Amino acid sequence: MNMNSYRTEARAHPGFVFYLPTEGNPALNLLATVFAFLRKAGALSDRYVITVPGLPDGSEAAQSITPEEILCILGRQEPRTFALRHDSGDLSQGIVLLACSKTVRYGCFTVANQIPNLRPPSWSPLIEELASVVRFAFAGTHNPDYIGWQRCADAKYYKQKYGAVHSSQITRPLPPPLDKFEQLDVSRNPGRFDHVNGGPAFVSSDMWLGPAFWDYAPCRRDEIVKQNWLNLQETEQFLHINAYPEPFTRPDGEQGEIQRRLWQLLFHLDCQWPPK
Amino acid sequence: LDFFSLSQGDVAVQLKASRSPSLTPLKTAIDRLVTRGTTQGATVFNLDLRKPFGLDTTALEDSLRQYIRDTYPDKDVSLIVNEYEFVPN
Repeated sequence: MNMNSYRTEARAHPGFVFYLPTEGNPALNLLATVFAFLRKAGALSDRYVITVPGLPDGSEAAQSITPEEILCILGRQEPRTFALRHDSGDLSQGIVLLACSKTVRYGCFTVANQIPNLRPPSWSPLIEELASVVRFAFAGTHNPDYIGWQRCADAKYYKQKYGAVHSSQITRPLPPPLDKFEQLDVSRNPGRFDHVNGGPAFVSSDMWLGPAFWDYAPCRRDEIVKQNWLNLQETEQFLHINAYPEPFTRPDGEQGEIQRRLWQLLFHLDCQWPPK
Repeated sequence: LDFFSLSQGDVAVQLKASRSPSLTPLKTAIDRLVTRGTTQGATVFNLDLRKPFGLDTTALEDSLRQYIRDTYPDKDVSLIVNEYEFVPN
């Protein structure tokens, strides 16, 4: 199996990622909006396991509690990081806010659902509702199998699941005696996650650019608006880019070329496939 | 009983499991690792997975990877699997 023969599973993204500045404790607003949306769609679980660093009892023990109890905890604690999870067999619905990191100074809010009967018809209305309650930077949806392929840095697993690797991609970043474990450099892949000027950078077929995007992005809004190969929707809260009719599933061909144009347009970066 | 553990740095989950360890505590361990900030700044986090020799955890590893891919899409997991000979007390 060569590196181009892998075929992505046709599986829509189970959710979305939404990046935002974390000043001013947006956690409560975000979560209240998500709970209301999921409840209306019949997709809200009655209990979630919550993981919040430094709960009052001093432990980080996971606790299974109701959405209302979760909102009370978040109202008191004002955490910048939390993870909620509801499990059904081996499948989960997860709602996570991660504080900014060393490389990305924006919080990452993710809603992801793997459970068939807790899946709303579309996530776009929720993304656009969230955009009206917080000043956000960047949001997008993906085909998870595609980004799993494109962002897989585990060389051993890559060879098993996706096929051959190019020798130029192989790195050994761990100190001895772990330096025998190979990792892949995926930093030029079209479907990678990257960062630019401290902000998140990736491309997908559907992206929402919020007011905080222009604080770090190297491009200008008017450069994007004049691109007639993109379907654009402009509102006060966001610029929605639809670049392809369905989530990307390939790093090459027409889809690869569109991803390359998006990297260049939005982030002034490039991508390459296959790796050389 | 078989011992099965997942760890990164000082955060570890150790399970006394049947021949098919449950996914739930492993997901909770991932949630703790990520919310603690242990993986902060890293797009790849390296997890040590220690399991008894001969225990087939392929399906479990796939499910765990899928959970991470869906819930933490800007991260990737690198599992370093160590098998050992389990000797009951």
